[in-house]
Amino acid sequence: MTQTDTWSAAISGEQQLEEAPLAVKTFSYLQVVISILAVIIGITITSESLLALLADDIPLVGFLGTLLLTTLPMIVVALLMIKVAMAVKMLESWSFPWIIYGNLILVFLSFIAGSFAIYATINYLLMIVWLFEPEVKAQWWILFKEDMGPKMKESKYSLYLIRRSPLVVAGIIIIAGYIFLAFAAPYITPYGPTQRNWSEILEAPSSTHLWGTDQNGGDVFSMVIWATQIDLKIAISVVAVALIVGSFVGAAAGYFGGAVDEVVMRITDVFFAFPGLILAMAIVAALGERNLDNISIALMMVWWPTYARLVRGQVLLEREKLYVEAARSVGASDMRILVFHILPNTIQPVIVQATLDMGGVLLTAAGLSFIGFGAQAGTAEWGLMISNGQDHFTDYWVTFYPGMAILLCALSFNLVGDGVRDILDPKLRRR
Amino acid sequence: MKLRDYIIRRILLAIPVVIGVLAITFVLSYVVGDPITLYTTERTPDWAIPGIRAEHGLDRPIYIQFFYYLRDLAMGNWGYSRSAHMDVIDAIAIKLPATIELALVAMVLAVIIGIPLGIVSATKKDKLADHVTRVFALAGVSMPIFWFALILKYVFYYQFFVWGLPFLPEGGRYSYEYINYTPITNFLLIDSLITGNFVLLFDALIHLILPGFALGYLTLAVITRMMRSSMLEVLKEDYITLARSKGLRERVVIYKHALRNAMIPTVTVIGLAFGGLMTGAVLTETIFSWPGLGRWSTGAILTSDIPSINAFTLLVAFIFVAANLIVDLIYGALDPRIRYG
Repeated sequence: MTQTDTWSAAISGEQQLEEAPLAVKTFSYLQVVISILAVIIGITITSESLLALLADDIPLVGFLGTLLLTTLPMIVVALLMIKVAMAVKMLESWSFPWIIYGNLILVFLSFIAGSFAIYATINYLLMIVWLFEPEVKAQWWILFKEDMGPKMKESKYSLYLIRRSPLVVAGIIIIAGYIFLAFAAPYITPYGPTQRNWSEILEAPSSTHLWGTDQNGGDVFSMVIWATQIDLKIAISVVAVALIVGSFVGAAAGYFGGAVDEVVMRITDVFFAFPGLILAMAIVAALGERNLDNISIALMMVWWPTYARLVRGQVLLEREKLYVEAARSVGASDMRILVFHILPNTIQPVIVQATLDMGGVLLTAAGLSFIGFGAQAGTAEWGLMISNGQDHFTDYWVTFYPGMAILLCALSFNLVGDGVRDILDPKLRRR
Repeated sequence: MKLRDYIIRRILLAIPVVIGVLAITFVLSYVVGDPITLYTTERTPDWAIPGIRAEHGLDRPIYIQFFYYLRDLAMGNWGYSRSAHMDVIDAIAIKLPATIELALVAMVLAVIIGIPLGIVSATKKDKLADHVTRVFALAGVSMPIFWFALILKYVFYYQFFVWGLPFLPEGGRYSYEYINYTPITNFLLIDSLITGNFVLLFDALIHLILPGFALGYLTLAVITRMMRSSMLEVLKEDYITLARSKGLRERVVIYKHALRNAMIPTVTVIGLAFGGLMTGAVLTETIFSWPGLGRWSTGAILTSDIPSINAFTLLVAFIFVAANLIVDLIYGALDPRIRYG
């Protein structure tokens, strides 16, 4: 059978699957995941290095050193990409597809521009486009659909349940609104986050100051919206770090059991002996300096045991199941079983807990900044704004609006978390 | 396992936690950052520092220092609180009753409002009463306590004053007239009862309403939610169906049969809520200028008064551990399944 026959058969839906080489299948899955990650990372690195360059943070020597360091891995990656592209298309070296020419041009361009990040970003974007080229898509799409089919169906059902629950939808819409506000803050606020007008102090809401002004003449409306960035950033980073650290510690404890388990559980016991805010207070006091980074670090240290406990419990349940036994009997290593077989099955309660914790972290962080840890005075941050307004509580607008912002944000995360927990609960499903 | 064995086992299990708590507070207060700064000012000459270090045992290995720390704690030598201008142990003796009083009032409010709300919400599931209660409870869980306290103060103190209504006091434990009151136990409610001073008792109660409610709302919400879900769980059980099919009145079924079993998880939550109340006290006391532990600790942190922070953290952790222990013991007594599990 010629190659053309294979393709046309695959495109027309006939089952020629066993002939697809394993490398191709692995490649395509990896590609999808890596591409998405790489695009995110690439964009971040690019923008940050660009900002650093604009701020004159990089000296010339360092810049040249980076150039050398980044071009080497760039060439390696480019060669690999070309190899893979050829293997997937089952081509001889003389008939290059456009993706290879694209790669070559990119290498050349980034030699001149000197940024690996730009190269990686554009390359992976190109690769995604290339994956959906009909010829290439025929190589992996059917397999992909077959593998993911049941999962897709399950997720579609979950989505359907979520859509039917008005509270969850409301929560998601509000959260999306907050994220939009965080990004759009520079374009929709009439005043900057630290802009002060000393001649307009504690003015009642009016058309020039929608939600009035605070005791320093800052515009409350603008500051509340600017604060969205800071507060969401704290909540997301704390929950993400706590989740990752806690999950791995908990998974190891649950899977290996014995002494590891005992030690980890006793440590979490000790952490649970402190109320969250108070341990965080003590940690911030010990760290010495009062700023937002230290708040985040303290909250991460406070929050990880929750996830360690949760994941450990889940892993203990999953560990005894048949599929783990099956994986072990074909000789999978402990690490492989834990990461690829058990952890994916424990993810649902962890996600629910993370959503609920977003609200909790937000409230605790605001509380910490209220009692005087937050950022430097004058930063637009909800807790700090309320703290500053408490001496002027008779001018309600100074404290009312930032408080409403916290309340609504925490409320929407709680709504989504509660709703999703009910939806994912197998006891309530499909009856 | 007998109840006695269960109790002994549970108490033994609390010991490593207590040691861990001590270790964490030690590390946080005396290892992170140079402890020598406690005993020096910027005017201390450099040549004096080694002597001061030796005097306080700070040149010894860390585990020896940890034993010094434990010894000092056991001897009641908790250090000097710069923010309260007295020894830490004296400051605690004065400030702890105020906080406990506030926390107990908040707890009582939360329990007497929360449990009936939970029952109503569960028995009238998906009716209007249920929806209202759920929103009320969810708001309580998502509410920043300090903001809620400020809003209460704004409405019931300032706005009521502006409208000419009888307004509630804005803060403190008692009015200015009673400034000469001499504390006996430092629990104002008990003191005024002992001396038969009912005017003072009334005044103290008035002062407790706003901070008590501000502090209790979170606990109230948590109790309501727990009560609702455990009640719903219990109402699905077979013995409830049996009780109903016997022709018992719905009141009897709910209050005699269901409530007792639904209370078990709620008791746990009530115990655990003590931690939440301590956290809340830090925030509420600041706003209502309540002379308790919370206000003292925030002041201590802002002035980097390490011995006070350390004492506060330790104290709260001990209260929390003790509350957990008591809850576990009650739980074991209420539910035999726990003991054998």
